[in-house]
Amino acid sequence: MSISNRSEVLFIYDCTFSNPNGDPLDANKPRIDEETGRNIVTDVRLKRTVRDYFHDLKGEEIFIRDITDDDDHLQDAKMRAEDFLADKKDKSKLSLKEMRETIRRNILSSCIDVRLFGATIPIEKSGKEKSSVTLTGPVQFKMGQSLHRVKLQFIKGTGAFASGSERTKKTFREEYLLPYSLICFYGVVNDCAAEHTELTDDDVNNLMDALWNGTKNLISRSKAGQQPRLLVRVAYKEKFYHIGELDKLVAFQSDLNDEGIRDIEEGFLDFEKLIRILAENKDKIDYVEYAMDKRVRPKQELKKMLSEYGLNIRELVY
Amino acid sequence: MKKKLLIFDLYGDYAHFRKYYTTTSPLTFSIIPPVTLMGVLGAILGLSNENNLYLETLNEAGTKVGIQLIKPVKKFRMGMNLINTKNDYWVPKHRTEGARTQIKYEFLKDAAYRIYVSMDNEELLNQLKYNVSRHKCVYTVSLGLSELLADFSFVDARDFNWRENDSSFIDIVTAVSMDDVLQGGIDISPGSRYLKENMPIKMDSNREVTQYSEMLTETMGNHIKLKINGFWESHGLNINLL
Repeated sequence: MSISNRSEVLFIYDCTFSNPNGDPLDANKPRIDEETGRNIVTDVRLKRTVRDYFHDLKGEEIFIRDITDDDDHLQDAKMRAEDFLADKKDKSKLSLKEMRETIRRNILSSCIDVRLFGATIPIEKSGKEKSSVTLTGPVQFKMGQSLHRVKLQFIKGTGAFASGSERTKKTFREEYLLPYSLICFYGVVNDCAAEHTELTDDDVNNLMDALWNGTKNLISRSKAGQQPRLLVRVAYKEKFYHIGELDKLVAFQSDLNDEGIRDIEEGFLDFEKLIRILAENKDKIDYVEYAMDKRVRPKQELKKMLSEYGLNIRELVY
Repeated sequence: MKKKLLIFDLYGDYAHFRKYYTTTSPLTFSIIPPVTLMGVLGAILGLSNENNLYLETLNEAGTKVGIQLIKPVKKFRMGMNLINTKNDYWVPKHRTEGARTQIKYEFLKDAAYRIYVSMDNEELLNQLKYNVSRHKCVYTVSLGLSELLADFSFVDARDFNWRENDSSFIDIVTAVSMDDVLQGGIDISPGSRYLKENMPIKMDSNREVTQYSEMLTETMGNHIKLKINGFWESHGLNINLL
């Protein structure tokens, strides 16, 4: 028995004049769905936020991080896996199977990111004896999408330095950014897959904390000022059941043209569909927990309406 | 000949079904390959992927599937920043490939399929029907990659009858294996877009593909008029099972 409930997570955050997730093969432009004009943020960007929060701010061990030795050599996945052998010299004494099992056990007990998101870990005893540990993550996020069409802005400026020696002028820099994007992520925490990675209820609570506070504390030039706006987790008591696609049930409505929106207060978050579907499923739901930023203008009173429908709803305080 | 079929819809915002012959640029098939569908059925049923047990169970159950496209095929490409895990150690500064590697992925957008499933093992099919009709799945369902989460909804469960070909053109709603299409048997209609793709159809329990076939799809989600060896029919709905 690992976690008590299956749950679904809805997470909404926004950014102003920044690049929430650049495409490395497209001039680092923010990713935009050309058909709908909406901004896309990959699941791996969100998971990086969560991992960095656990590691940098909470001091927890995570599996996927850059580790360099004194010569700036970056560690590879096989070497990283061997960090989790109690004594690296043991490698010759252990059989491949024992080595695999030791690494699997140690990684699961020490790395919260593997318990949450899973990992594929290559194991190599020698050139001939190779194996791997494959763990499917119980927590899976879909790619995030903005709840409105976004405007792509191209900015030019001067850099601080010249591009080479004996130049008299400073370089120019150019970048793409979004004046505003309200991004919605949806994910599932699967109780059955959780057994394989020994995910605990505490880990899930820590994930909620990391989504909220990790987003807030993301300090890099292109991501600064990101604000978590809404976090909802629906925990189910009905076995093997979840509603699905919660991200389709929340809408952002504004009188302004989509591309003209610059602030969360310039629109309303409409929970009508979400409330209706949660109410329809209330017999299957154990509880709903949520956190909402003070500047969000909800069209419906989420907490009041859900408790009127007889749902057990609690507020998360971060 | 009569068969009980479960019909359900499977859909998601994005999908990626990697083509087997691309080693560096991950291109996607235009529709969900039957072998990928086995994984989806395994996730709904909660069959273990340890030693590919789900494949063994589904193959033993005589699982056959039909795939109908219900939204037009749309593809787009996006760059992904992956971690470079090659070689034991490397110096990003000295090596051209660097610590990260950027790969352009091809994705399907707004993927949606109507899936037809038949099994010889009635008990397993009933279990699948039970889960699908109550919107239950043991593991999380996705379309090709774990982050491309998908959803499903029950449509119907009903009997289909086998019909032999009488050499007339038949309206088929599912993708069809070219092996089943007779010589000159495609009635090309204007406005439709046809696509043939060589796809893995069946996989044994070692995940080795045992059958590839050329699949014919109409990429706008229209029916195809075909002369075909035989097909399954119910209330005027004609499908092909793989």
